[in-house]
Amino acid sequence: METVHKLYCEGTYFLSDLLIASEVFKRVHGMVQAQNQFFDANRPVDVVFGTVQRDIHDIGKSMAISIMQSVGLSVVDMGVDVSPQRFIEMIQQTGAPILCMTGLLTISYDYMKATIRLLEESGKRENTAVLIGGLVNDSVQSYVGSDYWVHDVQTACEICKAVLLQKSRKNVNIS
Amino acid sequence: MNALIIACQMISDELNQAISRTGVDYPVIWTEARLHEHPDRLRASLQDEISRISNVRHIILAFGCCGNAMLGLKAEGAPLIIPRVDDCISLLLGSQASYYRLSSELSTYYLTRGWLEYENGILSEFERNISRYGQTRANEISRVMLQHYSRLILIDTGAYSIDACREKVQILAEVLGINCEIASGSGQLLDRLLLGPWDENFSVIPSGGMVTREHLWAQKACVLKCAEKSTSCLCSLQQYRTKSG
Repeated sequence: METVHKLYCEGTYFLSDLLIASEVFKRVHGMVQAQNQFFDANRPVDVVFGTVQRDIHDIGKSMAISIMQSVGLSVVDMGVDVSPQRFIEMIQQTGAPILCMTGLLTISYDYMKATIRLLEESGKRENTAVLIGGLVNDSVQSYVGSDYWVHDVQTACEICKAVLLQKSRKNVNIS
Repeated sequence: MNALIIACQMISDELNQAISRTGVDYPVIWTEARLHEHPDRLRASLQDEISRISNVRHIILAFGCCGNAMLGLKAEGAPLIIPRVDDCISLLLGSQASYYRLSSELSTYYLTRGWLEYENGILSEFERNISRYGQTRANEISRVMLQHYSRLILIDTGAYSIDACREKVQILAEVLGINCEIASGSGQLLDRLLLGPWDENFSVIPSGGMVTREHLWAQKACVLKCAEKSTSCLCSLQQYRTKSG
């Protein structure tokens, strides 16, 4: 997937090629998971992940979730157009220590910001690491108030692993 | 020279029309349509162009926010004029409010002749997928790529023939299993970009300044409030056929 991402960035691959590669990856990962006797479907949720309200872009999110799961992270996919309330409810329900939000539209920044504000109001902000992805950068991060921003899933996985270790979920088998 | 325009090829029909309508004689530097998918490359390309321009009073950037490609641009030889819109769809519909209102009704994929025709436009990618993956898989890819969209809107900007695009859009709508409607566009924002006055819908970055998020991200609450009050002028592809035929 790293090579596919590189080819896309170079302009050799188009969005549809990313999609095909992602589908192949997901199917292979599904087969591996089915063979993996150590996979525990009831393990605690590490990451709540969704595309924010008023945004429906999810190709990157779906690819990221597949890769995160393949390295051992337990991820809940909230889908697209997820309201701040729904994100917070899921964080409260699962106790996940990581919230990942993505969006490609400019307006998505306001909903990322609103979600983080609601997280603060719910008293969960301190215990929840917030990552944002999509068309984001330092400026967006400081606007919305997230802890991290990422452009690639490898970095996202590294951050999630570090956060989980910090939160003493050391028993989680993350490759 | 009074001003110079840097613009995306994707809106060349509409910008050329606005140039004729307003009578401005500013030259245009066109950037590749495909760059909008790579904001960092688009920013680098724009900065490169901006850095090589001198002896103009203004540089007009006919772009939307374009995935933050405008963010961080430095005004070097002349002030930069940037529309405060999320993307070029607002430029073609005439206001950010119209864009928000249509998008809040249904998740919408917007099209113009530019989006259909240019390299990496939706139709070019669809045709490429047919040759690369075959018709069946190309259809599947399109459906997955656009699975969350509930309609297509072809914007009638008056700068190209709707009839010439009708068949292509219909094919796409059938593949996706969603409706296509036609919305009236408006050149008012493009005209004001060229002529001024550059009010709250535009940002002026003085020479030596840099584009920040405050220059780009419009005050959403205000815009959304305006959007609620505005009315739409939509018709289906079939109705449009009756109207025009």
